[in-house]
Amino acid sequence: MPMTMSSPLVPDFQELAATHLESAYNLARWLVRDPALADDVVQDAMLRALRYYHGFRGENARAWLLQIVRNVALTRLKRTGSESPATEDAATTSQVAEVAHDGPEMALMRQDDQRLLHELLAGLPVDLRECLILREIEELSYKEIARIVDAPIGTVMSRLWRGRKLLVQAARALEAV
Amino acid sequence: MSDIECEQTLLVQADFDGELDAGRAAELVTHVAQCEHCRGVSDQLARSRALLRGVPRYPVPRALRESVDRAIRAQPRAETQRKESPAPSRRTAWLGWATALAASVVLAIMVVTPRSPDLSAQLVASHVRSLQLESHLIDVPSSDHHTVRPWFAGKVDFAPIVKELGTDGYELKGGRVDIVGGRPAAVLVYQAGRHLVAVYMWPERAGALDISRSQQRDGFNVRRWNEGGLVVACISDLAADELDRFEQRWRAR
Repeated sequence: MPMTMSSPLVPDFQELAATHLESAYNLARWLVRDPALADDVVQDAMLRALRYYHGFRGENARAWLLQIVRNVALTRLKRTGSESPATEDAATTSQVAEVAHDGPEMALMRQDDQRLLHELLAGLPVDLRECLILREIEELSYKEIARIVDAPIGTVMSRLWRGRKLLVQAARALEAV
Repeated sequence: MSDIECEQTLLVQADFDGELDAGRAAELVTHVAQCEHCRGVSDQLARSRALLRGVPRYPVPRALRESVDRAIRAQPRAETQRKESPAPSRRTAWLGWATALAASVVLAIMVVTPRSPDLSAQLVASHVRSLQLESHLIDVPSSDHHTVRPWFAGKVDFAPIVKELGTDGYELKGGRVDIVGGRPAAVLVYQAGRHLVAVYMWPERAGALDISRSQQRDGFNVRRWNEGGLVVACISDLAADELDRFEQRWRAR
């Protein structure tokens, strides 16, 4: 196992990659929403991270790595044109509403809250969704999220709030069906 | 923005996410008590978290784990280290041997030291250890924060937050210093009926120490939040909702 002698707190890249692979893959899956594409994104991001590793200052490896994963994912999304990275407020509501009003039969047929929840989340615009994933699943701080999504903290806060609100609204709409 | 009806909305959310210091959080409690809108916000926040709490991470396919591993291994070895060591000259060759020897010692230490990406396992282990060794539970027995807080000076390189919660039903028993994640943490011990609550704290700048906000491990409940530049983690055999109450009371002060 190669070791970094300069600072025992900085793991070598192999270890860093193994430690944060789950976070990286989870974010990639939620961003691109396609298992095969997510594989590609993670693979590509890891090699890219390795290339930049000499410039990594050794602090907050997870945020650093997720920032790279996100950049690779959004580039891929743009290329495939399957989803725009930012969505207008108006589109936001209708998108969620679409998921919510999939129809009562569908909701009953699935009878799988977990899957429904996945769909609600997936139905959110990607800029709101990524903030929610980073905050609620990865449990990152505002500062870390701001760094990863390359936005001011204030923007992160308002995206989080809009995302949470939409999610709760959509869940309520489903219950009402 | 139109969907942020009360300017305090984002502050309520920041408090909910553990991003406010104690002072701001306390001010906010007063506001929320008077603002119907903000109480609604609190409800929505709690609901959204309840919804999302059950969402697991996507499991990493084994094939991906292996191919990432292979791809990294295929790179030149020097590149996988943060700093490239200079090519050894004959003059410094002995240094290389010394380094190799030191590396093997470090390696041996790393192998026997359990490393966990999530600190909660260490937290639980530390707590259990303190319960087993009665003498290790408290180093400064006192219910007076004026006694407990200064005791930490010189023992940890930060000023811990010490609160008296006697009127809330939690009696401060005292404090100790413990090592969590390889760093010193200040620990306060409170008595809650027949249960104990241990409150660990260390500076946020310690960084990279990962611990989830709320979880259960080996029968203990763990809650973590950030407060005044410190990471605060409490662990107890109290029931989940009772520990939530403890957290709430603590943060309200």
